[in-house]
Amino acid sequence: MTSKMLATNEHAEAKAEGELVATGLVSGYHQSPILSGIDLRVRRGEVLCVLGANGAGKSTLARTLVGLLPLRQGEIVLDGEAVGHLPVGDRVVRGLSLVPEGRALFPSLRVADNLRLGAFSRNRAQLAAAVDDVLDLFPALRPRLRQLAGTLSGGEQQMLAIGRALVARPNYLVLDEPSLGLAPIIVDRILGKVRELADSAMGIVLIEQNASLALSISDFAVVMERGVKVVEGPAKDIATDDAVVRAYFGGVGRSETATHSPKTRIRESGERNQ
Amino acid sequence: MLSDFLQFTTSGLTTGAIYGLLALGWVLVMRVSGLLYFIQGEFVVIGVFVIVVLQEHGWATWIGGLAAIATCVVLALAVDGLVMRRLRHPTPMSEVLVLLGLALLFGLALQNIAGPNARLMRGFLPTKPIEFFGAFVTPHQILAVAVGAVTTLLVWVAITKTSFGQAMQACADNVEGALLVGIKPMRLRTLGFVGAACIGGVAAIVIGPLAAVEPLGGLLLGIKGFIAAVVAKWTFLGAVAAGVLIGLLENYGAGYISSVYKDVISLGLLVVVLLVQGAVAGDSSMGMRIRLRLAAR
Repeated sequence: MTSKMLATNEHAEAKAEGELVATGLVSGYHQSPILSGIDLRVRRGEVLCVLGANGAGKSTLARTLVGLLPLRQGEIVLDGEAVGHLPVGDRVVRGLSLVPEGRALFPSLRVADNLRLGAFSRNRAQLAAAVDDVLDLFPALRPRLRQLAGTLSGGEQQMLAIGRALVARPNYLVLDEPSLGLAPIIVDRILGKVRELADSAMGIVLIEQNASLALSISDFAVVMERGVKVVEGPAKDIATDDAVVRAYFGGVGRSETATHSPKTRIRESGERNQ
Repeated sequence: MLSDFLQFTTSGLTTGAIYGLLALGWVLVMRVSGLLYFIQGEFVVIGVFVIVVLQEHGWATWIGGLAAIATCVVLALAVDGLVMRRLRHPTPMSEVLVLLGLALLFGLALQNIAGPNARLMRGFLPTKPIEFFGAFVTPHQILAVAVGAVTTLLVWVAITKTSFGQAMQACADNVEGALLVGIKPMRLRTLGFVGAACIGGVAAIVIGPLAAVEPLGGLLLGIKGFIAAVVAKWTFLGAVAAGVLIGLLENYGAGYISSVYKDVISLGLLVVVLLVQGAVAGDSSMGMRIRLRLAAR
């Protein structure tokens, strides 16, 4: 496991061309902000896993990154360009895509049309090749191309949602709870594909509740609580960090023999509420 | 007897073709923006006046036709950019009232500029009627039906075969998903307005030689398209069919009962349909309007 991850990291470093950097993000709905000053960084070729309980602000973070929610403070820099105040479509054009929680498919359109619309504003020239790549990645979609998207099973819908985002060939992909409501075997398969995507030089922000599985395919991880980052570090350290696992995942995970890792930083409570 | 029926039917189909065109405009605007487009009939009236005035100044009819379409497009963009997008707190009610107000404003402005008289466009096809089974049909009537059919076909292709149509359907399905693939709903909306204005201009070209048009006639004319759209629950082909049906009903009513009842029939139909159907706009369209609000940021 560890050796494989090291290998992929070196691989990624060789291919990395840029990074997605978010600094001091403040956003939310109505008056009170849900994100209160969060920093993130993901390089192409890496998977950054975002963990946290319900209500920690993970989906708000995802929606703020792509522009579905307006940024109140902070900045988002995409391959060196500030995009924090651009509308969603302009970020998609620049290579930042989101697979949202709930998938946001077009149920009354066919699977093939959903995929085709993925290239509405980016990569239209290589549409056919990109759709082919998606079908190679998710062969289960191939026999369903002429079906209406609304008639797919949950797992197929998730594949279609990811596929639709991939047709644009994004440089960075934000995945919001791709495992939600899916059978474990399908979650395994989808997260395996996510790792493959990262290895093909895509930067991925993976938001998950399923901590142990998500950490196993991630390079780095952050844990969120009430709109701020409380823990960050290499994914393998967080997965084996007893204190973190006990505090945030209720003992779920491989924590029996783990010891506290100095690479993982847990913020003090005073710092948390800033 | 048969010749009467055929005569009413041919006039009904002609009127219906015009109503069908108007209905297409209404449905297109509803689908991209959720708006009840009460100015759709104004495009037709203003278009006719543009052509008539240009004809009076010695310009060819085809130039007048192009000018009419261009005028309609400019007006539609002005209404969108200068009024609809600037409403401080847009609600369905305020938008309906503003569009109704604009329809009256356009009619009164036209009356002030061009005078209160109804105008008839000079025909550009042979005027000799063609007889069949004792009924008469003019080339201009045939043209109206043909243009109605071709325009319907074009709109149908645009919404089913082009990325514009797919993007429109995507917005109706899931605005958030549409945004995430880079669709800009406000841009679609503008395209829809331009399309509806072009349809209005085209309708002006074909109605001009068939019926004298009054400056204040646009609102009532537009409402015929609205009724067709409501009857068809805001489906494209259904609205055209309903437009043709209303045209036929009006002409049978006018022919067999009295021409006084022409408008009573279509407006009565609206009341009946609303009693049965219970809603002006289909759920999906209204839902989309609200979702577009979110997306308009």
